[in-house]
Amino acid sequence: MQSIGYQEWIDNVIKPDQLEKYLNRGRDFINEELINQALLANQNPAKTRLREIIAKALELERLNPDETAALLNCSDEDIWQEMYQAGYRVKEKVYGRRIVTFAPLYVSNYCVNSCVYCGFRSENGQTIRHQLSLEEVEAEVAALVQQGHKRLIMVYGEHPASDVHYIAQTLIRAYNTKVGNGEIRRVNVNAAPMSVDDLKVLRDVGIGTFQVFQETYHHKSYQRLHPRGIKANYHWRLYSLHRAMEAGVDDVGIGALFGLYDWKFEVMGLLLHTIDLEQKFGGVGPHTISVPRIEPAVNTPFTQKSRYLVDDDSFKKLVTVIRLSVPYTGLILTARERAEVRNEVIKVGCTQLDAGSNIGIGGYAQNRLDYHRQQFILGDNRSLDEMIRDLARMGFITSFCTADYRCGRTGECFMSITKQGKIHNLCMPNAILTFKEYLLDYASPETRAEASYLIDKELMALPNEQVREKVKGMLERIEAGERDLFL
Amino acid sequence: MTQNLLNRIEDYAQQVPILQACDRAVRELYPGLELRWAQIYGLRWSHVWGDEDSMLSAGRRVQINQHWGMVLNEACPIAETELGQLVQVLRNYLK
Repeated sequence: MQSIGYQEWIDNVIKPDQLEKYLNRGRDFINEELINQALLANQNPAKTRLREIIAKALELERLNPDETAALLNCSDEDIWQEMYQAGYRVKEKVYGRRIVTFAPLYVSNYCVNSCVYCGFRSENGQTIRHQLSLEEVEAEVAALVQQGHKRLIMVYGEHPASDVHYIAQTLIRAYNTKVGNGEIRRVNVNAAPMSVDDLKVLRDVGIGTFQVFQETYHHKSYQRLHPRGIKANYHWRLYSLHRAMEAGVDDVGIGALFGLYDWKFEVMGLLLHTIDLEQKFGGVGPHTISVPRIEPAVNTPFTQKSRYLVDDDSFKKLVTVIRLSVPYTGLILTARERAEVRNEVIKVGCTQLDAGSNIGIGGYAQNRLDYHRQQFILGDNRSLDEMIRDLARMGFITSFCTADYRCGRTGECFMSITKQGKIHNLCMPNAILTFKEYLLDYASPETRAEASYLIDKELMALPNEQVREKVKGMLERIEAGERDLFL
Repeated sequence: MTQNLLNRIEDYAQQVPILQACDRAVRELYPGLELRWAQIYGLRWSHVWGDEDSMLSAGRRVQINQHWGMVLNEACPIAETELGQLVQVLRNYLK
């Protein structure tokens, strides 16, 4: 496609009326003056104030920008230790000791954009381009199902060839792929911003969560890092999840790519994004928040020279502040991070991890690692089985539960339950049931030996005796060969 | 039951949107029933209306047609035969 063709395509994709309607008196919700003022006004916060804010988070109340700014500005390491513990307690209160696991599936790396930090940018001649055929999608999904996965995040570059109809076809194929007892039960999507009509197409084929990361909320940095292509339109991207909600895709995921701009500013941006969604959609904010940190990519020097790269200690801190600021929202920590970083950061309140990940296009079926087909380079290459074993050693049970969105516990309903800290009354039983399936069907003997104790432990910890008895009965049915039992 | 439900839905439909009319009619017939309505998209049951606060325990999914479903509390007081009749009536209103 020639450049003039791209421009025509861009003009057709972006619908100005579908973003202008969400502006607040002509301005977007990333009020930089407010963010900077909050960060400035809440420097050197007193210990007593910080402890009050932590206490508010432990009540599962969302923090306001001043409170979040105060946490971000904390310079007392003892208070940070208290915050780490509070993050863990918040997570345990809302989600229990379970970690939801998924796999990323990169479907197409053709891209019209020019994001300077991304291996898929159109100018990167060293990236091998490929878009999976539906047969290849099926082969990839089958390989993941055979590992034991039940949840995917399917990822697409922004290109006319991977439009919404292609994405919908790949979702349908993923859902229809069965191998033995296994199948994918929830497909989340990370793709380019779309119009409301296009999002309805994804809704109709049963999308799980729709993710769009703003990358950086800082306006000037955004323009500098996205100089051309459709992604250069900050507002089209910023309101993509508002449009998703409007289209009836009521589980949406936000995120920032840490390392592009000041991390404290980005955390404030994520908070303001959450607040604006809550204000405009009846209290329903993001289903998940992702915290990717910039990683090296082939022929992409920016990834190593950005002046805003985030060190491991700051990364743990920013994840903690997000956990406390939005206590009821899922928090995703991906395999971009090294295993030792993940093992440390999980403990401050993450709820979802990917495992056994291969982000090369076609990488699962061919079981190969190819940096030239990847958007960036992964830090954690543990298999799903190894990850589950490591989590079990830390006392976490891996959940493959997908019951919520199959039982109408989405959007307003899901938020209502999580804000009361009661989602784990349903999710922990479902974690136990899906974990049992995994142990029977896919686990190595070593993992089965090390992780089985969690079934009894978590079963006995269920607070409701009736539920416990019911789950016991369902576990017996799973032992006898039934699958996909859930509450 | 069928005629009773039909009459109530028709009455309420004069005042409120059809989904709310169905909701009110079903609740009147079965006081104490915990009930949510969902639109079905593939595997996804997307919450639309109902008792989100009270559904903290497992629910029972009842598919009305390809596009609509109800989630009832597990201790649902409706007998199986009657539930079948209820679904038949609702199919006429929720397309």
